Amino acid sequence: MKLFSQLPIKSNSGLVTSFLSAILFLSTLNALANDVRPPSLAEIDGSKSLASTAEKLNAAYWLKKMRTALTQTNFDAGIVTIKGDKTESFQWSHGFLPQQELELERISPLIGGGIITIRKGDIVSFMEPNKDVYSVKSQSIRNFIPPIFYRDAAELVDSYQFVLVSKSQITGRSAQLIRIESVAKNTYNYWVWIDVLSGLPLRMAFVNEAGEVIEQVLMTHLTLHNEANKELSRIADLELPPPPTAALAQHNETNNWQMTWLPEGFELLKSDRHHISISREVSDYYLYGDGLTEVSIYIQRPLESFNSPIVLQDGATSFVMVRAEGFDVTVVGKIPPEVAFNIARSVKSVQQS
Amino acid sequence: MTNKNFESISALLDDEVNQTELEQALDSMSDKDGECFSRFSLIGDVMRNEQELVTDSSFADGIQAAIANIELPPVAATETDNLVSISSHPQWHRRVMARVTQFGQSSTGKGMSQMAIAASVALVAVVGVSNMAPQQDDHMPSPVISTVPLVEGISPVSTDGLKAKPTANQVTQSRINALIADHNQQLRVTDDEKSEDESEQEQIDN
Repeated sequence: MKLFSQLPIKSNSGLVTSFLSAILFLSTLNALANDVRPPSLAEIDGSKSLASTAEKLNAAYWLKKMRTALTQTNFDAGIVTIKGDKTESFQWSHGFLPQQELELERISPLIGGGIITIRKGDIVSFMEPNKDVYSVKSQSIRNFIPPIFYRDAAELVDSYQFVLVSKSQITGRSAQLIRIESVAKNTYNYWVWIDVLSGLPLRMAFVNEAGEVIEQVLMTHLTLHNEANKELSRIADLELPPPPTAALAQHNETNNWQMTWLPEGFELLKSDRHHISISREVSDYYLYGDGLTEVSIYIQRPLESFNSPIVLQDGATSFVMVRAEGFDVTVVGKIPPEVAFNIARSVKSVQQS
Repeated sequence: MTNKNFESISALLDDEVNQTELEQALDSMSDKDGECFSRFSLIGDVMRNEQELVTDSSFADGIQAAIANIELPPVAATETDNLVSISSHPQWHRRVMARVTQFGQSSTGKGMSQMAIAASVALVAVVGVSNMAPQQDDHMPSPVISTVPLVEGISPVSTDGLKAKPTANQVTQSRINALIADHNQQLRVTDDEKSEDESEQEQIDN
């Protein structure tokens, strides 16, 4: 019975040496040219100028490796999310059953009483205290991992640049840092440290223009397994409540409003009109996302009690509420507050014919 | 139970068999050898720290049963429950110890000791995490709005050219809290309908 940790070293020893030599090569190149920007993902495909081993250094390789690791390895990890002074801890387990090609995943808060999220394949179920279990259809659990890492990262190419930086150590493991930098500066930059051995993300952070980390996710410990652990395998047998089918939950696109300005790369994910559960107010709602981050736009009846813009920040999340003619617009999301303000100001009513 | 089989099983687990030995070993395996195989692999896992020992009560009960007759302090003839009777006995010390060890081996005792260990680990984790130094010093001005405890940690930021004059009004505050909570909920339950179409598209393109 082989140790799991032996396998990658044995099969990758040749790769590691060529890898190291290519690093040296590229770092000397870097020292010579000040503004060397590694080719973007789109250019890599066509370019023949890089040696095949150096090609392995590019961001596409690492992001693909991370995607495979996130969907196919068996691991248990402890996660801490840090927003300013606030920290939250989670236990994250993932397993993959190769015979059924089924992914099993579970994220639960370390300090009890929160929401436990379970994923079986592409069904995600939420277990909240004092509520019935409910499900949605999703490829990944959107808690602290941007959904784009479970998909093809090339989707980000239009609005982000990928920069490879030298390796560092996190929780005793060697990690490759990839900086996903916003081109138009309308979104925060995202830095991800990918474990060299397993491909899992050891640290992820939202970083602003000044290079300061404003919100981050840190893996405090990681255990890799050969196969899905017992507790996870039990999820495979669980009967999860079915997610609402497309027929029932129509994405009713409310056509009353128009966003005359949005940052590059954002697409409409959802749009409807619903009650905001706590305050019972009705709101027209739009959710836009670019894979790394999401932005919610709420349009509601005007509230008499406020007439000046409100701008709040909590970690990377900005909250902007603005009074327009006859309605209130609120924009919430992990984007810089000025951008949120611009989005809010750009919402216009569509003339009803 | 032959020694030969033991050897081949152990060699199998240590990855030291060649093809013919492997076939021979597998052919001559019987059910008993299956148990032996699982024991050997458990031993190996434990030695390499890859296995979490799960002790369930049946194991403890088995031990309990096996040593019930052996464990016999001279005063065990009259087992009484309350402390008074135990302490009044001249050899109360030994009986208390026997009681304690018996409790420790019973299923509740084992459960409690595991709970105690888990609780202390959790305590260390919580203390350690909450002591983690913040990455950045946020010098946010203290909020003028009195935050309703629903959502914590929001503090107003004044941006250039904008007057962030929060009104100290409960209605506004409650709307803010409600929208933030709704936003988090919406993010959580966003489904993949859109991206599924895209990924199917990619597969077709590939």
